Amino acid sequence: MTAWSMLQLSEYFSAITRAGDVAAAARIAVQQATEATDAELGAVIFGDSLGASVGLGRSPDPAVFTGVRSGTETSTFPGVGDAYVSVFALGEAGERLLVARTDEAFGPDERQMLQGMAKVLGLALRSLRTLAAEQQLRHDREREAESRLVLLQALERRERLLETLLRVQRAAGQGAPLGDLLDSITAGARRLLDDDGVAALVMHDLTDPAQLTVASVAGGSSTGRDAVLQAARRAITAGRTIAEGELAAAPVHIGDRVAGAFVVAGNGGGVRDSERRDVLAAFSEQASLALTGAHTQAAMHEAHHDPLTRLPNRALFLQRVEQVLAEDTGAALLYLDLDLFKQVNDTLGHAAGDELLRGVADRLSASVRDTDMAARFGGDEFAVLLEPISSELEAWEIAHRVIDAISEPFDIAGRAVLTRASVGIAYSGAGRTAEHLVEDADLAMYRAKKTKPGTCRAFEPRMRTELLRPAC
Amino acid sequence: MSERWFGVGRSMLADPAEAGAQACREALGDRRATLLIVFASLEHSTPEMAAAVHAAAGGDVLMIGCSTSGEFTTDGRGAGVVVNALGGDGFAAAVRAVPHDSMDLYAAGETVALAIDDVDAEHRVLLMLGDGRSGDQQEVVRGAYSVSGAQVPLIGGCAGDNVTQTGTFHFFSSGTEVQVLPNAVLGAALGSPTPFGIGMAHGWHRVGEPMVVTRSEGGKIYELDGEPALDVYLRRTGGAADLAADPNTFLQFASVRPLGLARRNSEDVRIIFEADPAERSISGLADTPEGAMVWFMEGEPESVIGAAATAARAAVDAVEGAEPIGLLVFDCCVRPLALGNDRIDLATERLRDEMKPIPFSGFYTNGEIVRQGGAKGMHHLTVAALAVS
Repeated sequence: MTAWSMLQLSEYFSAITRAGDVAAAARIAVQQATEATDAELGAVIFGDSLGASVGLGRSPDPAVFTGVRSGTETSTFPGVGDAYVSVFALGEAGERLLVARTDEAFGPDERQMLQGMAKVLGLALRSLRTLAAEQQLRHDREREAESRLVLLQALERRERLLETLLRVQRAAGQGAPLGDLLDSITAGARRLLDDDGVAALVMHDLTDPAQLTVASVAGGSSTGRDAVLQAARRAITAGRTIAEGELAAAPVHIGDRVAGAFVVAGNGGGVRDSERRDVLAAFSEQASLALTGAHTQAAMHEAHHDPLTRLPNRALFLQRVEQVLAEDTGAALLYLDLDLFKQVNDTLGHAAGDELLRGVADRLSASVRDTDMAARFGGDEFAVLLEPISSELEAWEIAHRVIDAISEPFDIAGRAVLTRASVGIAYSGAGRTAEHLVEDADLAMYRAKKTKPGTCRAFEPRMRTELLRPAC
Repeated sequence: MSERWFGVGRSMLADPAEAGAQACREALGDRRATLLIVFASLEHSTPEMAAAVHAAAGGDVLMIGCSTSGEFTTDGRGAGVVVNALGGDGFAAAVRAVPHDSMDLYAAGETVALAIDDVDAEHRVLLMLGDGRSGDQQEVVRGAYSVSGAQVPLIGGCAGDNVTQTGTFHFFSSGTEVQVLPNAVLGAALGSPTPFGIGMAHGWHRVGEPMVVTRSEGGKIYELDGEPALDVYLRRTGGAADLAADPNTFLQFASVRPLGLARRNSEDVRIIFEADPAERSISGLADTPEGAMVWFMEGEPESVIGAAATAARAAVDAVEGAEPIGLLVFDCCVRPLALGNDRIDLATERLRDEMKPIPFSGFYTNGEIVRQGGAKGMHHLTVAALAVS
């Protein structure tokens, strides 16, 4: 989600927390959802009736809104005409949030934000209804002193639940690292349970997806790890929320895929089952949103990085070179090829070869500056963008630093392994494209390797013709 | 049968009642009005003035109006009484008033919008005159929108008090009795067989890095980016450390350095008008919720000067084919402060040149109302315009 929609969601959380009853919560939700998306029309739908609506006056025909089904893209509204619509389930059957606007369809960001708004509304409505039911109970039974206390506690917990969600949402909006975010989600859920309660996020193990692992946990002196994992597994297998004595678990999703489960446990005590379900529903949803967001980022990273060395790949590198060339601030490109790599692969095996490549990547990264970018082009070929560069001498010095670093022995599988890097340098200049620059540096590297492996050459235009000569 | 007409009268006489009567006679000629719309300076906002205007129109006429932070017409700016009158075949009007604190702001918006029910016409609009001093004005617009629906546009402005922050007055009559109500909310539903046109422009844009509101309550902001809000505000605007010591100095400085809340395609402007040096907070009139991302807003002189003419042109163009006969303009009271006397005069001249020969009047408002497309209707630092045809 963009910062814009994340922050709209934070504002929405604040507003919903202040709602005193179901009607007010529905009204606030529909106002905020329409105002945030510049939509003319909106409604909170309870089955065949409306909890609140805007855009069609005081008492519109409910069917105009209730007749719009999820998945519908446009609908016609009296006096307004055709409008793009978006519909989201609130959680309880038949309850939906609908928004509609005339100017353009709702984008993915907006839909995700609206979905978040719908979930929070569903949650708030449930708490408010529980509260209303308890108020009724109080009147009916006259258990004054005791019920007042229970009421107060329920109210406080509801507020704490939404406040905790707001905090988590804000941390996500401000770009907190995933680990911290997950910890704040389990810690937040834990605070809303009994003193000896547990909140844990269980995920499929990255290296062995058949295994489950606890990614984040808060509390838990009395509940065993095995019990938590077992509950998680049941929820994952069932694909829905399960309850098992003290434990309850709900699946957590990355996109549409079940990636793990959120588990809560407590001894019952003052926390009612319905409240425990609310906590579970709210926080498993939060964990799913956080993981989906992080997964999208991870997918972006994967698309642009070499899986073996974690260095940027050729595509990302060339993009960066194009950018720097466009800025025209002075840059140089190093092209590296390892000598003796084939021998390591052949004699010590591929695993050792891979380890050597990782070692080279580490040393390469360590011997260039923070502003430079090292990349792996595949095989034993690497490149470095040096930027900014004030003189050719500066590039030359960095190239030698790289050669020296790589020429030190590597400790691989208990053996000292030697390799060398031959380096070509090309400098940016008028009319040079990224591809040109890479070709030039590659040529210079080829000359260096031919003349004296483990040394460095700068590109000269005549190298192009020299290359052609053997073919003539 | 008489043609529809729109008349503007203005008087700068010192005596409020005399000024009111003179302005009203000028607006009417010898015609009978369907609705009077009165704008008066704070000094002229007296019961005698309201009664004199009403009487000069022959009594038994619908009237809405409010105090201002300055008015303007084709003759330029001034502080006196401006009377707008409209009438002729096909115009229909109905009015409502909600006295201060008689109900919450949302209900006040709902109540004034009920006037729409009394007007049966092909084209309808709800003209609203709110109070610029009572809490979250967006609530009034939300209430009105819940009644009006997307079909009836909302337009108007919040009454001014000559930027003294002392309180505003509204003038109202639903027939024979004339009332002067402090800090009220008024609505007039207008109907016509030909279209109304609405326009809006502002000319401000955001500058610098955004900040997150980390602690706030209603319109009061305690923390920006986790730091005391006043400290951040003074540092980012280059304000002197002791600026907040004098409320008036702070108001003059801060009102032209507003914050903008991130929105889908634009910013929601929050004018900062007050600071508390002890708790290091700053305050705007409308809600600035925790978690919101805000920017400082800055106006380019040229586009800010031109905003009134731009809004007016958009309103006139929007009547689509019909002949525009008059224009009402609601212009934010911070704009004269930001632009200074010479440039705000220039803005009024441009508006006059753009509108010639269509008569118009307007006043400097404490918040502008335009709801047309989307659900949001409360604006700040904006010029809103209504053209009638």
